[in-house]
Amino acid sequence: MSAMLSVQGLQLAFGEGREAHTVLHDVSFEVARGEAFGLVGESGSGKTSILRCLAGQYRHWQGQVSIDGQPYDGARSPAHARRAQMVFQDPYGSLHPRHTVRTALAEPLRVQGLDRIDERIDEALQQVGLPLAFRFRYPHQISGGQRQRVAIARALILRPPLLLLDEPTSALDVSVQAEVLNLLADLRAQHGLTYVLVSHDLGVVAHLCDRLAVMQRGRILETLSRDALCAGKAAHDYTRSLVAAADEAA
Amino acid sequence: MTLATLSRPAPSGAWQAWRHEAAGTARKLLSNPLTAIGVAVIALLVAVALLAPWLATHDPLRQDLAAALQAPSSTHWFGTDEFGRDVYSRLVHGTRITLFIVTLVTVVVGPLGMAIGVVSGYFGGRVDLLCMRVADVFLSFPSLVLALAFVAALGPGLDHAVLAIALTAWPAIARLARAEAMTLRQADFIVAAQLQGASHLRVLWRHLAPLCLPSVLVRLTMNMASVVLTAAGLGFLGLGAQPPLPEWGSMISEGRRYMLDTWWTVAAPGAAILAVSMAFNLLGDGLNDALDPRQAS
Amino acid sequence: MTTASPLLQVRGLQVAYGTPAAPVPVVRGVSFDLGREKVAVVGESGSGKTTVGRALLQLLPRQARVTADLLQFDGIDLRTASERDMAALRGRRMSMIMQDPKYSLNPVMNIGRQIGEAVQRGQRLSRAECSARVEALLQRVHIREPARVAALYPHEVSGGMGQRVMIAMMLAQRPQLLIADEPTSALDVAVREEVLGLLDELVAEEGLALLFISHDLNLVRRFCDRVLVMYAGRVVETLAAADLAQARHPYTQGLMAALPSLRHRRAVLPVLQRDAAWSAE
Repeated sequence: MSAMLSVQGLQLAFGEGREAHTVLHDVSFEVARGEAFGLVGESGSGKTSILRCLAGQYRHWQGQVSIDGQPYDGARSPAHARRAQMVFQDPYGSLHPRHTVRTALAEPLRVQGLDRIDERIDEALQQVGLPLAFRFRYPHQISGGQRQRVAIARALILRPPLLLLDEPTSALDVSVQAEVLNLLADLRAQHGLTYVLVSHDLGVVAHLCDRLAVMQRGRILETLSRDALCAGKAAHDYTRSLVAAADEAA
Repeated sequence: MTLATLSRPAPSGAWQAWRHEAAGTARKLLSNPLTAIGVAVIALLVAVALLAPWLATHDPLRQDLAAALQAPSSTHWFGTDEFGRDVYSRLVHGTRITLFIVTLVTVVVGPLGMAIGVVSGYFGGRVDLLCMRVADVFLSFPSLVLALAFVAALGPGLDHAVLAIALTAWPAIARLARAEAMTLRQADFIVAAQLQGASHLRVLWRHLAPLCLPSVLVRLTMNMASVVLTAAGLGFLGLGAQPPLPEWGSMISEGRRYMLDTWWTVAAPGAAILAVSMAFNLLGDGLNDALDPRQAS
Repeated sequence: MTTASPLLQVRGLQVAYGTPAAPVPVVRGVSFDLGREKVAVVGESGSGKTTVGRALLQLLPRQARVTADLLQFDGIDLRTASERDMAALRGRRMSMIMQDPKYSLNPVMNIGRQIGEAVQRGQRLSRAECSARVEALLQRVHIREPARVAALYPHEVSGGMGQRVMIAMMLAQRPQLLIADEPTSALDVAVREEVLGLLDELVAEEGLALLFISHDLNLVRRFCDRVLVMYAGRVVETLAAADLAQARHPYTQGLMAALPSLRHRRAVLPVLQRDAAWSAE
């Protein structure tokens, strides 16, 4: 069975000549179908850049990427939209301020020319645990956690097999974060989704992901399973330091 | 977001939701007394323009040389000009011309400026360069000079004056829309729309343009004040509305020869121009505060 | 004024917005003492923790109405202090550092000049003396090349260094009380440790009183001495940081339980069940 996501030799740089700044150095990893894969690192490690390449926001990368068996060249297209969707970090910035929840959810359906719009919207709202009455609220009328749920509903309404998650809970309060993490875990179990989760929070990554890659300065230092991480079997010092920092004196 | 908003029952339809928002904005707009005054004056302008034939006491074009240059009286509320025409009636009919000019310019400049600005800001690169250099060319013409050129080429007339004003006013709108578009094109919700497979046109039309609209609207409203003044200036120079049309600027131009003795021929249209310009400025100011998304609702 | 009474005493602090007829309370009756120790005020968004910090320095907008039974700093009644008195206190004896140094530092002045301004407050120093003081302060916050950093602009330094520059600016006047409002939230984990270590040193060596406002329970558990947990404008629990695991209030317990932990992995994170009674206490 082929992998859901395969990244080989991903290279990304900004600027030209002497001022060229390499953000990603030869990044390679694979994510199996139905797996949740984490990318952990600090700011500047390049983890978010990987997602942006996969989402088509950055086009000038080199390397081989294939999604759901199809090679991906970085272009955004309706076909790509049905294969991969993204949940963004900032709940305040990821929803159009002048679109109601219903409009935001209907938009991907309209772009793709799908039918039964209202039915699908209702289904999506139910899946993320929002009451149907929310359909006609504007983003500034709902809380951060609710906005994130809408963002998740919007990402899943096209039923993509691959979901890219860019620090989905780092802007949320702790209690709300727990709810959203539970929701994400549920949805994955229910629909067999594949996740690529980017986070600086090791606790969050360990909660949701089966395997994770630790990044530093644009390179993957090591890839290990969650169990190995929690059992203290990390090979790199940097990984150990991250674990130590995340470990509380419980 | 306040607790009050959350506790209100959710709107049951898209139209209702939109109405709630619009009502909130209107309330904010009118809560400022200065803005309310501006709105009232403009509403008065529109009403007078619509009801001009009934509000005027005399035929604005009918001359009565025997009654020339009479002071304001009970028959002629604002007096008469040098041809014996009733100044009040000319003022009232002049509102139609003023409204016509302002509306035509706005309707041309608004969509044109926004379209060019939004496309320029969104795509950047060579498209941006091209659009902005074209805008620079038009920006470098003062509207009066351009009007002179048009008149020389096409002959005097109100339509040509309007064209001249519009052609020099659109670059400012374009720059504004471009600035907004450049800020917004990186926003997550734009990226989300692109990720859904939306075409560039759709992103521009459904997502980007509606957000650039508020500041463009404010700018257009404040522009209206200067349009009124520019049209009056062109009329004053004899380049705009031609006699015997009761355009306020040309009324001042005609009346200035007798200004020292018969002040009403100049004061009445002058006051009208002042009032309307000020009203548009106040409205624009109020709109700025009401539509600014950065201010908490 | 005895050395036994705490530096800062707060009783019944209330902050409300809106009109007297329809008040919107943001802080409802907060009381605590602060001595030469590290006290954390922890809460989620909307709990009122930032408002408490700003109320102490009278940095709230004019529409805010601040009242308290007791609001005393080193014997000075802050409720009745005039703006002149507060200006003398702020930055000199009571200081504040905030979350993102990008927004707290003036982007058009280089670092040396900004710290220099803080140093020069209230006294005339020659250029050489000022520069020497600036470098000494930068060294105090463990910046290794003070002369080079003093010439840099805020956008040229990293977040962690920016935060240390903020601390250096704050130290220029040798304050007795520091209010730190989420000072490490915008920083990476490793840098966070350095900044916290620095604050720790300052509390120990300069006898600084630290009011640490944060949303991060784990962080304050390790770093602070005492913790005040806020919910909906009230302090629902006050306890020693070491005792957080044995917290008694259901909100605190819920917050602790909701954190995903590496050590105790759970398939489903317990969701906080908010009780209306907590905001009505």
